[in-house]
Amino acid sequence: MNITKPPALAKFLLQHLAVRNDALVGDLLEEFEHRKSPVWFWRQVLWIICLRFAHDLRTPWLAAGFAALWPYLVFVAGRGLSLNSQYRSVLNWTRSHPWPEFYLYSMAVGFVTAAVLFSLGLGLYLMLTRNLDGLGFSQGSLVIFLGTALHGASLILVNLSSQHRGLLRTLVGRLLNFLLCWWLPSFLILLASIWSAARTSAYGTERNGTSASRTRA
Amino acid sequence: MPSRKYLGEFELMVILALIRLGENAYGVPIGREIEESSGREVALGSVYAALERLEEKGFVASTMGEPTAERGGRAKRYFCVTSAGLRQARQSRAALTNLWRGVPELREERG
Repeated sequence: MNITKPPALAKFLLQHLAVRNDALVGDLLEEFEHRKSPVWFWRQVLWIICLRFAHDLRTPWLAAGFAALWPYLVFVAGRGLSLNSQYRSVLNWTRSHPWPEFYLYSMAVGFVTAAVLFSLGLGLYLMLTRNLDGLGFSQGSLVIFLGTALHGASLILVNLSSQHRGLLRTLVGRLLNFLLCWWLPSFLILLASIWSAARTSAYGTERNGTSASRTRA
Repeated sequence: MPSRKYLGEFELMVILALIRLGENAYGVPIGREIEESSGREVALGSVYAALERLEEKGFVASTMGEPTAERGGRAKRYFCVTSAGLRQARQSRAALTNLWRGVPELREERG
């Protein structure tokens, strides 16, 4: 059998999970033409993905610090926002509905607000690290909105089935609620969005392109 | 924290492959050169990871070539050793030669 094309799934994973690096992808395709071994191609792709994960795990401190701080700032901003009359009127509109609709609506408003504020945070982070790139930002924002929607849905399910509402009235209960239901998921969502933005944008790829700007034939 | 400036084993192999290849050094021939010399399969991802580290240390420089159709329209990235990289390779050779001088002759392991 004459194999002329590399495995499509491996190529897809290479382009979406590994960092964008056209020269490396080109080298892999060129070498595949020579070897014609799908097993070899798969081995190369999986190794590149492992290397990139290992690299990301070694250098996440700035991203992790930002992802840890920003949910707290969003929490404070959210409390400030709840004093705003226009925002309050939106919240009051949600409360005009009967249970459980009002609960679902108010949660949706809260999580859309959070997702927008998280996206602003992502944009700020990418701007401060000089890696703001339209494609990366939209990919990161998509992760934020999907993550926040999943988080919101899980909270709704947990709260609707909760038999321990009294716990939330204590200080420890509130702190646990903040850490487990807000801060930790938000931290993970932001970190995932920064990681996703990095995979898609030029950030962390052929870092700074090449060391010499000239090209050769 | 100061960055590591010495060469690891694989980094030294990459630098030596670059020197041997001269102007035509990009990912594929670098990988083949190391494979033929060492007799073990080399992952192109590892070659690029080493090249990126060497570039950060200032031991290697790179330039982009023109995109070619056989590579899916992707350009080659050519690498060359800088004078700092050459100096570092010489230092590594001197250190290894000195160390080997103090080692008694090794017997071949029984296969």
